[in-house]
Amino acid sequence: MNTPRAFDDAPMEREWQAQERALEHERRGLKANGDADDVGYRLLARALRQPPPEGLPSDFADRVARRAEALGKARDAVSARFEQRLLQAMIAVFGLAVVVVVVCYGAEWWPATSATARVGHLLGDRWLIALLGCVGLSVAAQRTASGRRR
Amino acid sequence: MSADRELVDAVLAKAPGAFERLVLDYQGLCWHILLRLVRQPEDARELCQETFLRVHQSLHQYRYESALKSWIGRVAYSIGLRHLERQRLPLAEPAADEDGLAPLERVDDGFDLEAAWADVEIARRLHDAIDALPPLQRTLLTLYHLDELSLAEIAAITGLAINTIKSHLLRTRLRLRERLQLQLGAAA
Repeated sequence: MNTPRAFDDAPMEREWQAQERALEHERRGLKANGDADDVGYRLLARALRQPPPEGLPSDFADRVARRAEALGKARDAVSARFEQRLLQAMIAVFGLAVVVVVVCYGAEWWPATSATARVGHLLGDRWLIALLGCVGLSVAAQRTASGRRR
Repeated sequence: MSADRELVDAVLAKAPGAFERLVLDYQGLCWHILLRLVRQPEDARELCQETFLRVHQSLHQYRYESALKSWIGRVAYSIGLRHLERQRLPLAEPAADEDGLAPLERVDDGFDLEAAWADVEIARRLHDAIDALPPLQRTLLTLYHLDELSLAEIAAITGLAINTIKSHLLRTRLRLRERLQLQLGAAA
């Protein structure tokens, strides 16, 4: 478990407590008790709480945000181009595969395909005759009905 | 955590000004970490920018397992460490953790805190002593004292065990205090 535990060594634990007490007193702005250790740790805490004299430029956040946005757009553009190229490459590979398959097995498939096409042709003719028959019957029925009404 | 989520969602949705707000919120922490690690302000500024560009690029990988502050601090710390490695600079003195607590050199009580703080020479030496610490110790002290992070938060940033951090803090502060007291004793 990653939780703080007391030092096994008693003097070390006492020293830690003294350091933490001085830090707490310094944060709360309490009056120093004049003890040399306490004064030492409080001076140290005070020095450590001072921010570094150098800082980031005032427009740092703005500049970094603009740079990040520009880089993000460039990354998106590269990614989109990559996806497009990948898609083109896959279509090319697929097309090539179709050509290879046709070249290798086309001779076996062609007669079977032609026979199927002939059967389909005949079936297509019969269905066309049936469709025309239906349309003719429907028109005749309509005319008969309208003649009776007159 | 809900404020973190709100900010992260806004940045991921590319809401105008959201990423700038994130940078403004955490640039202080990153600056402290990087300046303490690498010491050179110019390098620290560049690394700070690199940190936020990395954050922008990989924010979608943030899983809310730690506070956003710790996650961003960890990115800054990793970038600072890599810089030190490239420069072949040691992160910590190897012997820093191995020496036990030396018997303290006691000096007389009765120092006035405000008078000592007003002594420019003492303050300067104290800052010099802090600056002269190895990068790891400087960074841990800054995160604990200046940024007021808890031991657990520092552990999340540095990847060190809490008790290791505690031990570093104890020994470094003790050493600095002893050095300071020698100066105060000499000045008295």
